[in-house]
Amino acid sequence: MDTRIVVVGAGPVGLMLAGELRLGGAEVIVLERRERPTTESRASTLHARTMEILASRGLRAMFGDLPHEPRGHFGGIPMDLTLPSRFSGQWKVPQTRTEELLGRWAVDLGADVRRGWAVRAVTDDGGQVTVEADTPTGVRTVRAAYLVACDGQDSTVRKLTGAEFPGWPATRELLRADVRGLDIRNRRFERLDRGMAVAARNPQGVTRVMVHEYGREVPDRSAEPDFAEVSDVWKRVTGEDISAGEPIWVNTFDDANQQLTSYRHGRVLFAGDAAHVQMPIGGQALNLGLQDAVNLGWKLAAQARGTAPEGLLDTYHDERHAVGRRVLANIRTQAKLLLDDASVEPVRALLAELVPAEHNRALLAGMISGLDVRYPGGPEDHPAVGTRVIDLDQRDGQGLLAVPGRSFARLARPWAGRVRPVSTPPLIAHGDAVLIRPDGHIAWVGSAPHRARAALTRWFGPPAAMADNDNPEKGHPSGH
Amino acid sequence: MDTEVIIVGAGPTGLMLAGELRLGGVEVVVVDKLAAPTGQSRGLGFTARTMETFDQRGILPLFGPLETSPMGHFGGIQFDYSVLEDGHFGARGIPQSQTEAVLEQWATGKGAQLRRSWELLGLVDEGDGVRATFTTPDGERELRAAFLVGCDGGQSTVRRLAGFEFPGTPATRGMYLADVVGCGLKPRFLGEKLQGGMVMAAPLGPQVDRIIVCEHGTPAGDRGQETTFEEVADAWERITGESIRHGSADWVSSFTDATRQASEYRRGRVLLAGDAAHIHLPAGGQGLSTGVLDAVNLGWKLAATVRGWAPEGLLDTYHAERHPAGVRLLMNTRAQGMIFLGGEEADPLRELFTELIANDDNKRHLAGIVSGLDIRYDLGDGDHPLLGRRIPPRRLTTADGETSTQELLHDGKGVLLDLTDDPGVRAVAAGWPDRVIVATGRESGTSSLGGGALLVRPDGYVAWAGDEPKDLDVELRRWFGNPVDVGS
Repeated sequence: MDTRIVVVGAGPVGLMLAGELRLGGAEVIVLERRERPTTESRASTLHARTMEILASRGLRAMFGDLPHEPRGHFGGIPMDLTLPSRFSGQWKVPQTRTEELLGRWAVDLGADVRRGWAVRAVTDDGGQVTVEADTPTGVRTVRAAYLVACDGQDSTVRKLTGAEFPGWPATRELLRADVRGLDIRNRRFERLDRGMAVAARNPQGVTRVMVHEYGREVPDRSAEPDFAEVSDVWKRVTGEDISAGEPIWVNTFDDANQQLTSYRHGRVLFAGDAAHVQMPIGGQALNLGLQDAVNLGWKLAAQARGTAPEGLLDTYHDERHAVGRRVLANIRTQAKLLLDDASVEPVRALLAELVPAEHNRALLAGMISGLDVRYPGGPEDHPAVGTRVIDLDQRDGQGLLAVPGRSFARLARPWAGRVRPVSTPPLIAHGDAVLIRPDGHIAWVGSAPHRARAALTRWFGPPAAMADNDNPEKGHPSGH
Repeated sequence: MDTEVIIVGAGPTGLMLAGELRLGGVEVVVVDKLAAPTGQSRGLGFTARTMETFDQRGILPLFGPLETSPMGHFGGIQFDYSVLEDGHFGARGIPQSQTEAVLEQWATGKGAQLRRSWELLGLVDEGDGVRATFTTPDGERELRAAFLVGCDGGQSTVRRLAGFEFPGTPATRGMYLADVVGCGLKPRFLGEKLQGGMVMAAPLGPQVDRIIVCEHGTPAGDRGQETTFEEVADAWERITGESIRHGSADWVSSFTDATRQASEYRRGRVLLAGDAAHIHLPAGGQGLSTGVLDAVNLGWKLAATVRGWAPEGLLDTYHAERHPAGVRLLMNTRAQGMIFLGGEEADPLRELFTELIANDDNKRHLAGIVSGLDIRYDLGDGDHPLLGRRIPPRRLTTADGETSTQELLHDGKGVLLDLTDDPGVRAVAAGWPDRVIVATGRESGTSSLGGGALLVRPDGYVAWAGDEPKDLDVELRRWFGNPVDVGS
């Protein structure tokens, strides 16, 4: 069987997915247009749910000590992000570092990352996907069982497949620059008469400025703006002259808000910014993408290996499109609160009254941090189904059957290699077994063995033939 | 002086103020440029706090039976206001013309003079009084008074003549309001959002429906321009696809979301109240209600000033207290406008508020704002939960029998409510027999007022709560001036 999967794009999402696919036993080739990793660091925030996932994969330690900020904001309204999680708040990691670490992990697990490969054609013939790419050695072709586009907001694959991508075009833009040699005061989401300004100077003396001018039309950007444009807008909004500063880099981002109608098109799937574009407010875009990858990886690997139950792969779209829709909606609200002119002040004032109430703070913190994600269960399911479990070791990428007794441990044996029985303190209630998916979400809770078998089959496919039981690591990658 | 206070405008605010001034023993003339009430009713009800305020003065029975609605909305998102203690969405289906008739009956019954077809031409603040000129059916007339209050609505002449600043945001959209006849409309009580805009319809009587039409992209029209039924019918059809051209209209008008507030509510001897001081998008009957609450806040203070017993600075607390209340009025109506009337662009914001409103604490918060029950004046640092807030309506048992916190306020005087039979506080309050009623009693039923004593101002707000006579003496002087044995 062809278990090969092509991942297009070696950004954080593509690399996370590559590692996940390897854990699930699929063969992975990552094609990246750039010859070398980017040196620009766009997204630098990891939120609590992402940190929990990294910890469950045993990856937390390699990130080392990270600057931590328990506070965040909703549309510029400051709020505490603390929730019941070991990793509440924001963790600051330059995106270059995230890519480096995830790339190392994926490659160690056996992912084949090919740089300088620019995809130019994708053909899905129903039986396999053929990818044609411009490479340093000419046009090359790769065939695979599935392709996942993780090639960002301007996704080539999305354009090539013509996937429907409805939403809201950009109406507001933020100009951003890292500048050396500035002596201006720090500003935290300051809404002024003519626009919104942020300035933050780091210990190395580099000031990151971000500025939006109310009502300014989003220009057609074929290239990044020059620093003069940034300093002009900054001058108009704040009155400060920063033109003498030395720009390190300049870019812009806008509030375009679009989401694919379908995250799956036959044998082509989409994850991260390729599936949804949104203003990267509060660092949610990167985290949303990484969590797409972790939802998809085990399902697609099972599909490619032929163990996936019917319909499992389609739960990727069902679950992540709904999550994406909610995040994109909160980002639209935040963009409005942050970047609209004075007309939005009354709503801001009202929300500022409401946000401090614990229920509201927790609601918004849950949205921003990704901790509120709960995949829908069936009407018969235990209420905990779909929620996440925390602090369990899933570095092998397997599902877990958290069991109250030895009989359940035996019961999981036909799924060896896919599901590992673990003995834990009661997760839900004493006596209940809990089936946990590789992405850390609860698939089933109960105490009846026949229901446990049904749930195992529903999520992990039919039990293996007895012969397979002697070799539980069959098909599983080494080096985890 | 021809009179002590001139009130310009015989709408709900002006009439309420006139009655309040009469309770305070002040001569008052109310003038209105119209020969007779219009009979038109923009407002169709008033909030929970306004209903309590009418009850404080014994006005409520004059309305006859009133229906209150527990279900209300915020920005079009429907929810039950009764989760808030004493909360509801107000008295509904009361035409403004009826409210005005009731208040006129009450105010004139107390001795207010009402002169119709008197239109303000000019006014001069002479430092020790105000001189105002009017065109009247008998030619030009002049009146001189100690104070003049503009209760003459959003287009206030007083505001213009006296040079008040009225900053805010101009209209961004125009809307129609009409009472239509024979159109056979299905009720859309809380409004229905459609592709082209929002429409609302509520039956007012057999064959008659009140409709509101808010079409996306309708520019804020020229206010001087007459609105026609045809315009309204066309807009209705564009949004709903339903033709109402076979019907007719009792009256039609337009309004906008322009939002403005006078930067000061007092300039010398001229004051503003009601729509003259603040205009906004109508939402939940807050306009009429805020006007009535302005009037009740101002009335006793202005009366005290005219009568000469007002402590230093009392009259200026009118602006200090009611301007912030107006800021919250404008804040919430603009927010509701954005949530309710914004197009698809505002959908996520509406979704967020829908999610927030599912929570009872948020229901209480928003119901508190719209109903007026959350008003808290900054009356000091004490930690009593009622300080600065309204005294809630509660039954009381006294030595003289059953009464209520509402009944004690009927005369428009301050009330020392002694809940623990404490001769110490009663002895102090006895120094203001003409201004403060002393009542000893306890709550009938469950206690929500707390222990000790409460000093309640004539407008029903708690100025002090405690049991220390010395503190009470300070507060009595702060709000009611010197006691009789010292002041007389």
